Amino acid sequence: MDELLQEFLTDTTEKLNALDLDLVRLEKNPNDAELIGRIFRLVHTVKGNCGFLGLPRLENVTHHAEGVLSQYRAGTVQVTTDSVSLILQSLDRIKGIVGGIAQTGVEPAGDDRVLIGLLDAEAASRRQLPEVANAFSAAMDDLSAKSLRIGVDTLEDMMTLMGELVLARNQLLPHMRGELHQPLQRLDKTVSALQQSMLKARMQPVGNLWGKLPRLVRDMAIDLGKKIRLDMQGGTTEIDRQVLELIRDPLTHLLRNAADHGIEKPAARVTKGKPPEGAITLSARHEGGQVVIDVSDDGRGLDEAAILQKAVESGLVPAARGRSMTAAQVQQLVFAPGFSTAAEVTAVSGRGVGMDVVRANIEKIGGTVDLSSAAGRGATVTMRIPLTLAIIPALVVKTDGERYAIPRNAVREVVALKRGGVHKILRIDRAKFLSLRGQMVPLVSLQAVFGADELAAKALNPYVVILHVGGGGVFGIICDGIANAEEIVVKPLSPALLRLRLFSGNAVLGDGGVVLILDPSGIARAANIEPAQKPAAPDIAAIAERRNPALLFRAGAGADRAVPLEYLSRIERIDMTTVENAGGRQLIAYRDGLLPLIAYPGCAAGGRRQPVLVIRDGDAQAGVIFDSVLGVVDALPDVALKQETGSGSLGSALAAGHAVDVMDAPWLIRRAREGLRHDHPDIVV
Amino acid sequence: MTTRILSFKVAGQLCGIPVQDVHDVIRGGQRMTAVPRAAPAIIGILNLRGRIALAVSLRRYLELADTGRPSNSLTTMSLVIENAGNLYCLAVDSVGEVLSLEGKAGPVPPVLDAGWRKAVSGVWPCDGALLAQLDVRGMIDALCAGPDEQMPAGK
Repeated sequence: MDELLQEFLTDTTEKLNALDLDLVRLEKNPNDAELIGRIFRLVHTVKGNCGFLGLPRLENVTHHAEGVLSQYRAGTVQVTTDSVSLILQSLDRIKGIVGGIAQTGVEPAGDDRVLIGLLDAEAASRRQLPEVANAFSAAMDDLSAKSLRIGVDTLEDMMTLMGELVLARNQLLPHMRGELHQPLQRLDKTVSALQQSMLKARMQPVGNLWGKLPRLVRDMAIDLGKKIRLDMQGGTTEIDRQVLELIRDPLTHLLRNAADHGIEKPAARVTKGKPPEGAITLSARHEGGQVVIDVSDDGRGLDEAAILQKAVESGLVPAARGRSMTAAQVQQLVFAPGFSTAAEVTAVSGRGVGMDVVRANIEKIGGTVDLSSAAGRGATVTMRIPLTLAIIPALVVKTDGERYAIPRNAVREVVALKRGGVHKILRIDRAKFLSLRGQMVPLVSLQAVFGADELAAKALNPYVVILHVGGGGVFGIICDGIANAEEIVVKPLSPALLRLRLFSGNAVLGDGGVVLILDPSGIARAANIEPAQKPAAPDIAAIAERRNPALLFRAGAGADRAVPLEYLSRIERIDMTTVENAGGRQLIAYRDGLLPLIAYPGCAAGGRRQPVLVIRDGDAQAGVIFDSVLGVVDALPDVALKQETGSGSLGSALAAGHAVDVMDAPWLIRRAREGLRHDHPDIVV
Repeated sequence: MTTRILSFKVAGQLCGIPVQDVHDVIRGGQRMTAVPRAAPAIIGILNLRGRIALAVSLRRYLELADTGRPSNSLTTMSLVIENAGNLYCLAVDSVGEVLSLEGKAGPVPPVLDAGWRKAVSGVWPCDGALLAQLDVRGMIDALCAGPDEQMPAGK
């Protein structure tokens, strides 16, 4: 294709993308003369180029679109939603023609008379076109001589070569002694610097990807009959262009979800006391060598009951298990393959492929996807994405005589298991755990996952590498040793190994050996373990320091009790005859699920109708049976006399002039959920 | 029509593949990394001048008795094949010469064992013996397709 034409096509596509963004802003801000001027100039430049290159159809369409824009600029035609739609429609037509030219080299055939008729009608009060010479020269000034267009292929080739150079450098580093010391050191520094600038050359602001999104959201809002505002923050955050391409689809999908499932219709929002216009916020930032992108909305949040029902109906979760799931666990179900809650398939989303694909795509590039939701207040999806995929820092571990690489991003910490040391592996049957700062972390033996005979090779001083997986969970893998940490050049896995779903890639190490790169979530899946969620262990000092308001109540004999209001969600009165005993737990049907019950230690709870404090810690909740409410104190002072954990009480504090027992809510919730044990005879329901 | 075939032996059987499909022939001795839970024919991955190749044992693919013990290096000569941008290393027992064969390959006799039947695409008479021409692409496709499920974890 003609070089001039090629350049025009690239340039025009870029300008059109920029236009989308401007036009949506125009709809909100119809009187922004500067904005109208900019849009007008862009369309005008495209049109000017058309005449120049002999593209009559494109010229005709841009000419009429420009006619309408000039009316806006002169202020003779009011900018309405309809008129912006019309302009967007013409831009789509222009894009179609440009796309056709890019494919075949000539203008595709087509009839634009209807569109042009509409445009002319819009510009009905059309006058002489204003003088545009100034606008044209201004547009020409934009072309800056400071940047240079480089083919993406060239950049990719350079990156591949860069990878080879890093490998060669890594191979040389062990020989860095004697007279080679200095030149090798210099080589090392230069390669590192080169790698940095190479990576920088591939970096693009995330905003490049976002350009199309306001248009997408606007069109969806109109289709769905909703009002949606898209706020974007941190668009200048830079990310490797390869990564940028790979997050395009997941990001679009998340926006569709937020607009379709998240944001309510204006009337529904008003009845809930929210502004009729819903907001979707997109934000990006750098955090510890990763890019974090949040997509949040202020809509209805996840409907856990509907999700659970759907999951049970589709056989994803056995009904019995469903009843005992926490809200957080239920929320995670949306990531299950093929899951979709949309009652009907809309044009926008609800086609049954959804969050599982989003998560799979993000995890494929070494990222994670988390979800948090508050009923009625909205949901936030957080994606953590590596800055680059080509060269990543990794930890190389040894097991069974082989080495495996783990991306550094996935590693939370490394724990050495020394004989007689603090950390020990705990077992329940064949399941292994490590107790780490109050959290029970499930462990996976790599040998077992890999099908090797675990008893055959037993390391004396194994290590546990604690890994992050999606949804904030952690688990540990047991390996024989840590080889080293180094930068590895990631190479795609052979297609014959992809279906194992245990490895995310492979790499050549500094010594020329090849290693497989472990995929943490694949390993967790293969080992069939459930990663531990964020610990709910009570931090006594933190709780006491907050001096939060507390409810005073009476439960059994002895001092009055207090529960910090942050844990309390409701006070209910329940019929004790409806309590069911299941697996050592006392349960009642409560709202959409089951509520585990526990009597406050020392409380006899003899009545038929008994008051219950519904307490919540994170996503876990439980009901605590008590006797009567005494009142509320504004600030609960520090616990003066601490009590050891495991009694249901954190200790005593001074409130309303006398000593009260402060409830250890997280402990009670855990205890209620686990069920009663025989070694606590003082807890009687 | 002349077909140029690179001949090699697997468990005493004369085999061959068209010479234009062979990227390279390497001697054994390269360090190899085992891939846990991969198909039995996949014996590891190795570094071929900075690129990573998948090593496949033809003996195992053909479901023949495997004399070699599991090893962390490539023990025999291997043919390097490139397919869809990926490198494969086919471990054979020995590599012979390039033969120029006239005419067309004969049909696959139905009496072959299952292991051979899935791999042989044609048979050539050659100096009083028979040369089995192997279907390398089909073999690679079979390795890449396979069942989607993972094999169950050890005990």
